[in-house]
This record gives sequence, C-alpha cells and structure tokens, in this order.
Amino acid sequence: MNILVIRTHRLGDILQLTPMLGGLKRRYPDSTIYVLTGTDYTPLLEGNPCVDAIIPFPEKEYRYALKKEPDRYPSLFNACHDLIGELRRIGFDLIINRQYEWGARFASLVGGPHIVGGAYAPERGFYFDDQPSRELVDVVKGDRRKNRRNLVDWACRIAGLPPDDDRRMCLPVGSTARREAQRFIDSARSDGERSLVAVQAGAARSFRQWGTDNFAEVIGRLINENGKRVVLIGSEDERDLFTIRRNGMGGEERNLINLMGKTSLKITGAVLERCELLITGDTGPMHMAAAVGTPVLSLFFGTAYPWETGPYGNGHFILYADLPCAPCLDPARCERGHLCKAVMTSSVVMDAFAAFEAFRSGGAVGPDCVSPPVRLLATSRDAYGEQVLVPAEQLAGGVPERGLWIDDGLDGEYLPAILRVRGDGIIRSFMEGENERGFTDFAAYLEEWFTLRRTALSHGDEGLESTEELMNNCLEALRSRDTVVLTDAVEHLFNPWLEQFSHESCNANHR
Amino acid sequence: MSFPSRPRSGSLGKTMSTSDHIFDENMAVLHKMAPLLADRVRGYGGRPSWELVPALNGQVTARTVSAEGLVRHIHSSYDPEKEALRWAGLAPRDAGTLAVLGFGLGYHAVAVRRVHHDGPLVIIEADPGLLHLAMRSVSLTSLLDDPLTHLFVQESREDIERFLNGLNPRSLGYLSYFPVTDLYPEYYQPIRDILEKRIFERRLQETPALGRGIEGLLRETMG
Repeated sequence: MNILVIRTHRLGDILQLTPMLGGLKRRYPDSTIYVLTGTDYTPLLEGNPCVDAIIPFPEKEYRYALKKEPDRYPSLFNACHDLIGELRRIGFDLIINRQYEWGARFASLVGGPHIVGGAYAPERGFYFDDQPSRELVDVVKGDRRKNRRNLVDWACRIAGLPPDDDRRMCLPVGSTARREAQRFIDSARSDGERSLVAVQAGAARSFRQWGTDNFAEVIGRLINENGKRVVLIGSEDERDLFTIRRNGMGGEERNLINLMGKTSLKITGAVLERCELLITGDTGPMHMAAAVGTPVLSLFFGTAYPWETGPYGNGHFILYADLPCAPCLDPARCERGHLCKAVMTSSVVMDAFAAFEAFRSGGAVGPDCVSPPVRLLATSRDAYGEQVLVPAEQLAGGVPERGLWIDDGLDGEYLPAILRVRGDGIIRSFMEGENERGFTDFAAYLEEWFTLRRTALSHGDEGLESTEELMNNCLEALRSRDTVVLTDAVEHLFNPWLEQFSHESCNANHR
Repeated sequence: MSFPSRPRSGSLGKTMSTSDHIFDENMAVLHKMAPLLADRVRGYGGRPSWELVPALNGQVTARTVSAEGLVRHIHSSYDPEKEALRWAGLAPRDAGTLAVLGFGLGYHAVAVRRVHHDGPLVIIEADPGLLHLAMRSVSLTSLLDDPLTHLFVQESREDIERFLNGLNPRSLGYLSYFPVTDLYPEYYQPIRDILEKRIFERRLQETPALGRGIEGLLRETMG
C-alpha cells in the first residue's frame, strides 16, 4: 500500500502531522509512506521511522522564480510535470492532503482512488470528499470556539485513523545536532549548574508577537530571580526584531545565551531537548519542543486558538487570553486595542512559570494563579486518546511524557539508515544538477561520519580508523566542487560500509 | 570491519597515456559518418587541459585542474560505465528524440544509446579538447557508427536550434551530464533553455488537461 501525505510549508504544521504518520504506520505496517514537503523542511522528517520516503518540493524557489524569473517558467512547468509523472508511476492507494487548495490540485494531478483532506476538479473546483474534512471546515468557518479538537487529532481523523492513545509528535534530532547543541551552550560560559529555559520571542506573523519589552522582562526575572539560564532561539530573520536589552541584569547577563539565527532545525531541536521548558507564543518551535519532549509554556493571543494548535502531548501549559472576541480573524482591525496582548503581562507569565515549577516538582497548581480573562490551561488526553485542555489546577503533578524517542546512538540502526537515505539523496542531487543542495547535504553527511568515527573509536571499534584520509579527501573534493569524487565516496566507500554495519548489527541482534 | 581501498587520483594518482589504435578506429568511423567533424578532431591543436586517470575497474576517467589548483573529475574513479548506466536511467521514458548535453569521454552517451536504442540521439559537447581525448581513449565506434547519432561539438546555439527544429517535435527529451556541463555553463544554459521551452510547448499540446492542471498548480504556488 502506497500512501502520499502532502504538506509543503510551515514548520509547526508539518510537525503536527507526525502523530498521524505514526498512526498510519501502526495501522498499515506494510505500507510505504511518502511525504511531499518543502525542501527546507525535510530535516524535520529525516530519520522519522514512520516515513519511508521524503519528496522535497522547492516551494520557495518556485515562488521566487515564478514572480521574478519568468524565463524559467517552462523549466518549472517541466519539473512539475516530471515529478507528477514519477508519482503517478508509483501509484498511491491513499493521498492525504493537508494543504488545502494547493495540495488538492497536486493530489488530483497525481490521482488515486482515495484522496482525503480536499481534492480538486476543474468542473467542481476545490471540494472535500471526506466527512472529517467537511466537519473541520464547518467548525472553522462557523464558530471556532465550538472546536475542541487539536489539528493533530483532526489530521488523524481525516486519515481515517481510529482512536489511539499513542499519538506522539516526533522530531529525530541526531547525534551531530546534540553535540553541536552542547557546544553552543558550553561556549556561552554561563553558569553550568543552572537549568536551561528556552525563549522563542519572535513569531512568523507579527500579530502573534508579544513584544520584546515583555520578553526582556521575563528573561531578566528568569535569570535574576529564578536562577535560570535562558537560551534565546529563533531564526535569522528574527534576530533584528529582538535585540535583547541587557540593562538591569547586572553580572548575570552571561546566563543569557543568544542562539538566534545560529542553529539549524535539527540543532534547535537538540537545544530544546536540553531545556526544562520553552516559553513562546504559538510558533513552530513550540511544536518542536513538544516533539522532543520538552514542556512548553505558550502564550495564545487573539488569533491563535489553543484547542486547535496548542502544543501536543501531556503536561504543556498554555496561557490563553480568553476574550469574547477571540479567536479573531482580523487582528489588523482590532477595536479593543489588542486587549488580548495587554492582559498578558510579564507578571502573568511569571505566575504561570511558578505554577509550572510547582507542577514539575510534583506539587499542585493553585486555582488562582492567573486572573480572568487570562486562563492557564494544561494539555491532557481524553478517553479516546485525543488531546483536551483542562484548567491547569486539575492536573496532578509530574513530568510530561516525552515525544516518540529515537535512540540514534552507534548501537542503534537509526544512524546507518539515515546516512544511507542521505547518501542516496546526495547522489540524486548531483545527478539532477542540484549541486548546491548536494554540497550542503554532503557537508552535513560528512559531519555525521566524523561523529560516527569519533564514537566508534571511543568505543574501541577501529573499523572506521582508516577513514580519516578518505574524509579529508572528501573535504578537498567539497572545496573543488568535484561532484564525481563525492558521488564515488558515497557509493563505493560509505554505502558498502553501512551495508556491512547493518548486516553485522542485524546478526548481533539475532544472536 | 574495514573500509575498501580508494583509488588514488587527483594529485595523488598516476595519469594514463592514450592509444593510437583506439583513436584510429574511432576516427575511421567518425570520418565515415561526419567527415567535417572528423577533420576538426584530427586537426585539433588546442592546449590540453585534461588528463586521463585510471579508474579502479581498468577504464579511464579524466580530470582537469583549475588555475587555483582545484581538481574536478568528470567520470567515476571506480566504474565509469556503471555510473553512466545509472545516469542513463534518468532518461525521460517518453522521449523519442533524446538530446545529451555533455559528452565527456562518451561513457554516458554510450549508456544512453544502450537504454534508448531506437530513436535519434543528439549529443552536444562544448569542448573539442574533450572529444579529442575521448576519441583517443575510449572505444566509441558503435555509438559513432549509428546513423541516428548526431554529434555537435562547439556548435552555436542557433545551429543547434535549427537542427532541432528540423526534427519531429514530438517526444523530445534531454539529459544533462552535469560534471561536464557545469564546466561550461554559458554554453549549455541557452541550449537547455531552448530544450525546456520545446518540451513545455509539446507537453501543453499533447496533454492539455494535465498542462492546464499544472499551470493552475503553479498559479496557486505563486499565491
């Protein structure tokens, strides 16, 4: 059975599909699951044991070229034609579209007996064939406040999955990213004995931003009053947006570790994994934290609706400005002076943080820790395994569950498997002339090999000892941009070793 | 567990000499099929910018070294033929006429001919020095002897376009061998643009519903 899942953009939306992917694999263990996603987002799915093939779609490049380089139109058209032809040849028994009209058009061009989540026909336009999608649209277009189901659970319903109490987010970060995260944190020379709290201050859409002054105050109090180290995460684009003012931090400013714009998706995931909490708005990193098992304290203002997009998994905290006008669809025309942000003061956030600390250490959350219209909600599950939000004080103390955990150490089969897939992807990139992508991917691939080698040697396994010269030759070939030597290295040196490794690992397991 | 040995190439390896025997055989066929091109190859006197390097399987590959000392290979140092066959597997299945951009030492064109054996094969190479080297080092007689093989070396974009216009426009496809074409982007890119445009127009004509669907998708992509 071949299944195609379509979602090309937005980090959080892609991660929110991972519980569905796990459910599909459990329900159809012999299926081959393909995910079409934006080229920039493939690291989110790389190493996910429930994804058999990632089909990268360079959506950003398309959008840019279609607007700015009209001469490229024929080649873009042809590339799309080729991709669709390739997917038609594979043939899909089920296509799950999670990208509304674009996905519907794409799914319908690929074709298949069963398209859910929205399909398209020239004579009908965009339409829904499945009941859960129609229900979702009805509720979103009608009264969103009536919706009490998270989009993760909606996706599972749309995929036709039964209730399941093992729905977990998944973001495999990998050993290299973990090591890099460690290096970033260590290089900050902060007080190592302090625990880490991550803060994501930016948000892709301005109306979801809380404001730098507010975050600055919270950060100062986390460091000065609560003895924490704070890790600032965020994208390169957000770096200018948020220049933290260090006034008033005294000598403690060394405990503010600014990683904005410095870390890849995987390394950000690994940084989050090391933190005891992430404080953020409704953002992509919120879902990353949930996926690596780090609790979240998230701030939901007018446009965001925590029942739909709140962090998935048990034990996350949500501060929600529960005003009669929320969730609003047009924040630019707000007539209430953005009250939803005004009521969310830094004191409210720090009160919620104190409640989280109490919960985490096994205590109870007091009923009055925040005042209306702000509510402090916590994530939990109902009897069917779907997410529910409950008042935080109703939660018993404890530590939130981790996401789907993947042991990617040397002893696992994860790293060889992922390197094999990456290697094949690199060869394909070079064969298809996507050299820049190939070089970038090869550099990351080689970094994994250096890690593998170091780990192997530290375990007394000398099988990779002879590889240093090879790896250095690869670095030289990267400098020369010699795609042939790099392709040779993957195919004739690295891949045979991986095969041998998998074979020996398999034999060891059988013994 | 240990790594297989790696053939030494680049600045580490030894180079190979060419064979007069192979050259004579290739030239005899080329002279029969394309005498003007054969004369150009025989009279080629450019400064050699390539050197041959042995591959592990006994065949040869070629490398060039830039002024900055950066080495670039154009075929596998392990098994150029296997590499070429895999690349030939990318050939568009619906192509009647197939253009191959970048000849190199010819392995890829030979492999494509094996996979794509019944239609015209239009081979385009920017560098006459590379063809000269190929003729001296790889047996290309079966490829060159094929009346459906058309070899263009350093021809202008206009001449190539004129030739393509004379072909049946249906089911034209092309393949780029990037290790070679990336060395001469200013030559190959305009040719690639011509090919893309012709393929686009043909597809719109042959499968209008699918074409409209993809155009709708592209509009949606633009937002």
